[in-house]
Amino acid sequence: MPLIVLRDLTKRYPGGVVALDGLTLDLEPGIIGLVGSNGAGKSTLLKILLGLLEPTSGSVEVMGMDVRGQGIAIRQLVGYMPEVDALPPDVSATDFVSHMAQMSGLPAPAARERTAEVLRHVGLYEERYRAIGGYSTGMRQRVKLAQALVHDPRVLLLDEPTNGLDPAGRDEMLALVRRTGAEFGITVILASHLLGEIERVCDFLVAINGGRLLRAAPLGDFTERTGYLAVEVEEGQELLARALEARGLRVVVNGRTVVVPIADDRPYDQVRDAIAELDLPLVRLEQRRHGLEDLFADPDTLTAGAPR
Amino acid sequence: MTEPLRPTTISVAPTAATGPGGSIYDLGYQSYNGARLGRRAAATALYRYAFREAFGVGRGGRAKIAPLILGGLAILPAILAVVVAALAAQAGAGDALEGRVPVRYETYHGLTVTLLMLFCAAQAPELFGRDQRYGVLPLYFSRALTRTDYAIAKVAGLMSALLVVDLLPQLILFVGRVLVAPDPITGLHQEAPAVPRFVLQCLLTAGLLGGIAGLIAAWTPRRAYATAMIIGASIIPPIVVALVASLNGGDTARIIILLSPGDILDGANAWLFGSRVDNPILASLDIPGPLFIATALAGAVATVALTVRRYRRIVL
Amino acid sequence: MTETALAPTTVTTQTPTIPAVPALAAQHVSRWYGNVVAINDVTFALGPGVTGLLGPNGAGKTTLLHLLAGLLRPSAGEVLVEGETAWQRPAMYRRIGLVPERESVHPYLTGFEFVRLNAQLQGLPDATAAARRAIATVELEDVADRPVGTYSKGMRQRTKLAGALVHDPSVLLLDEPFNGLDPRQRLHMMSLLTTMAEAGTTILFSSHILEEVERLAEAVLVVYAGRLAAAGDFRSIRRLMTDRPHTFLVRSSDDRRLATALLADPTVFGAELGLDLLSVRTSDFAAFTRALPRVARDQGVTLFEVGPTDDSLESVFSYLVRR
Repeated sequence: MPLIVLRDLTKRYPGGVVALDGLTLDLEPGIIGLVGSNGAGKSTLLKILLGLLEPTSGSVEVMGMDVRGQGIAIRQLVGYMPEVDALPPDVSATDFVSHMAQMSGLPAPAARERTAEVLRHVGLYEERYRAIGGYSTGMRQRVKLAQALVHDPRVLLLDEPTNGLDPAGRDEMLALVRRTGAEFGITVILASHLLGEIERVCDFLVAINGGRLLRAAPLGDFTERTGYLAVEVEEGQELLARALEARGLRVVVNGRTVVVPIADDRPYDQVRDAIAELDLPLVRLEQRRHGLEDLFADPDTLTAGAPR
Repeated sequence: MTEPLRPTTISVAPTAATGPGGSIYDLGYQSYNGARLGRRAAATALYRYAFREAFGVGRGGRAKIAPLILGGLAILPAILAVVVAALAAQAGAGDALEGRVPVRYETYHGLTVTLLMLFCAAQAPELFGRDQRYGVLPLYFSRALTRTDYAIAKVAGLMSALLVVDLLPQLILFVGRVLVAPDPITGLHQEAPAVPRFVLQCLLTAGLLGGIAGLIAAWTPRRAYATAMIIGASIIPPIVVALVASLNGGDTARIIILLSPGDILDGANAWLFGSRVDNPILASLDIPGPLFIATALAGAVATVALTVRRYRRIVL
Repeated sequence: MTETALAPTTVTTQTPTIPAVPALAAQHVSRWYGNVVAINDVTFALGPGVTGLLGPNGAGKTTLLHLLAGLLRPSAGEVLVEGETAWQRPAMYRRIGLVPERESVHPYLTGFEFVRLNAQLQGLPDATAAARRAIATVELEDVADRPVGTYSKGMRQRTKLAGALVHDPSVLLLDEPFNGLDPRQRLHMMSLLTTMAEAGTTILFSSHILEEVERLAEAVLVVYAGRLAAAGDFRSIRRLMTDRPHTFLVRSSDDRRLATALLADPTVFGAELGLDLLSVRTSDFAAFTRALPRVARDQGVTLFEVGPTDDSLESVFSYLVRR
């Protein structure tokens, strides 16, 4: 039995906007990335899974429970980290998270213990007793994650968790998300605009567009090898291209990279020998993979984002 | 990045901390297998939290200033009255004093009602506005309670806080008078009839004022606006009533006055204690007492219902 | 977490595209607020093309962009646009466009009205035509007559961009232009900036998303605690960190044989066999990258995959702002 089952899920807002349009999907436990264009219905889907929004039609089951009618039972076992800032400034992280644990139905002593544990896990130490108003963006994001984890949910819903973080902050947040899914055994659904982020953290990807399912598959399926060998040399790209053409290979030069189509293993040695003969510095040699953004590229914008 | 504190081994049997041998304990993520008490527990916890929030507990020193001053001012007359009565009794002047002291059960409502309105104006925006201003509502509504539970727990917290501020001085007065009486049994006899009256009056006051303030604050996330509107809701209706009464005479004023919370509570208080109303307009309108009580109750119920409706319709 | 030492490398900008008079230059620019030094003695020069501005939160990126745009007066030093000082020279403002991070578009104006207002503020002779052109550049024609309040995040970003380039500036500064954009809008914004750069505009944009900077920018400026920590092509920056050995991961037809042969090479000082993977450490990037194909050929080993482990902008950045 899958963890989450969507059948023909439709959400139409008053005013006629259709956020979700006949979405049918089974999700198994894991770390699941959710991507889609703005307004594609990502946030709507998360809110429906939480029972914060009523679906217009179709059915949604989370852990075998129907979101219509069993919302509270579901929400006791689901954690939610919204995209927007959601923290009162004049309360300490400890007090706030422990209050939120009680709001999830934990007894007060358990709420306190879990709060101490979970704040340690997200990396908040001395500052946990100070008012949240003085926290940095990174610390606030950690508190938001802590309140979503404090009741030990089976499913964690994260809406753009790295918003506003700098590279180091993003790294740390993504590592936390990865650990939450991989080590704590909690299913994570991560909604993000940043495909690179999803690639780093998730093992399954759901792409929706205009409220419809674009594709749902293990991440590896999106990044399959392409049958092109990319050879990056520090200098002498043109020389290499000519040498390879002389060996009978078809070649495209793309900036620092020389791209060679490969049908079998023979071009590998031809490339090696050509580089060795020309005494060129070989920086990188690998089979091209599909990128996640291929999902979203219009034919006319594909060239702009072409990898170098 | 903080490295996970993953244990290399986990000892199963407890090991003595002294002596040979040792053990490494698992400090990694622990799953929670304890009780999940569900909706009722969550709502009750929120009610308690709201009650404490109304007094600024858990939010730094400054948040406590307004509730402490207002609460203190509400209790002060009762303490003074008891002290004066005790001194007078010692001096043998107790009977002479009786009836002349302005602090009595039936006058206490008039002494505290303004303080209670200010308490509402200061604290209701904290209880209802903060969660909206700072976007905390999605965190509540994605937990083990419903929007209705949230609204009712918050309103109940505010009403309970008001009840404490309102009832506590009356109880002080009651206990003081019983103790000051020549002997406690007689005192108890004398004072007991007032108890149900002031309890009911305090319940009506807390219910109606809390209901109105909660409703206004729930609709007005901006703190300053909410405070101004709550004060306005207490000041403006009596002025309108006075105007209408002077222009139009009794009938319209009789209806309008039932929209003025201060006048409703004054009327109920007068009827409960069988005393005279100070406000000449209110007195002149000659409205049956039970109508005041019924209106206060209806007002409390209606405002709570509208507050619930507000939270059910907030789009997150 | 807050060790302030910069990586020991200093880097001089050597981008060949810079002409004699750079389009945008900072000369010993500092900016302080009381005792707080936001920007500390920053010197660089940029030519046409796309440059990424990187740094942790609070490093001074926005302050630097505002200094470059002539919105802030440098406390010391000078910002030069095409060789002329920028501060309080209205003529210079005509050559600079700034896309701020914050929402700066009034929701009741239509996109077209907002852009035309910008054109009028710039004193353009034919504001309407200029606004039309800018709207066309960012491909917003279809929605230009709708109020900005009804726009998606991507449309609003493009409206701000149109407002900033309505007067055809030669220098375009953007503060976090990708914030909140979805994948498709990102691709579109990238292609817009690339096209403009190819047409000769000097573009400097700040971003936290290093993958994006890596793909879009030819060069980077890294600021850390108000100082310029590095400038130039990030790969060159990495090569300059000679105190940090390079690790290459290699997949080949015979990892053990290749490892043995490589260890005999003087540029290699470590090799480790993994599962179906060989990891090689070297101190001399240039010599090793030449040696590897030669050694493989001589040993008759086929190379299937070769790549440095820390060659990404991500790792270069983290070395520079070592915390």
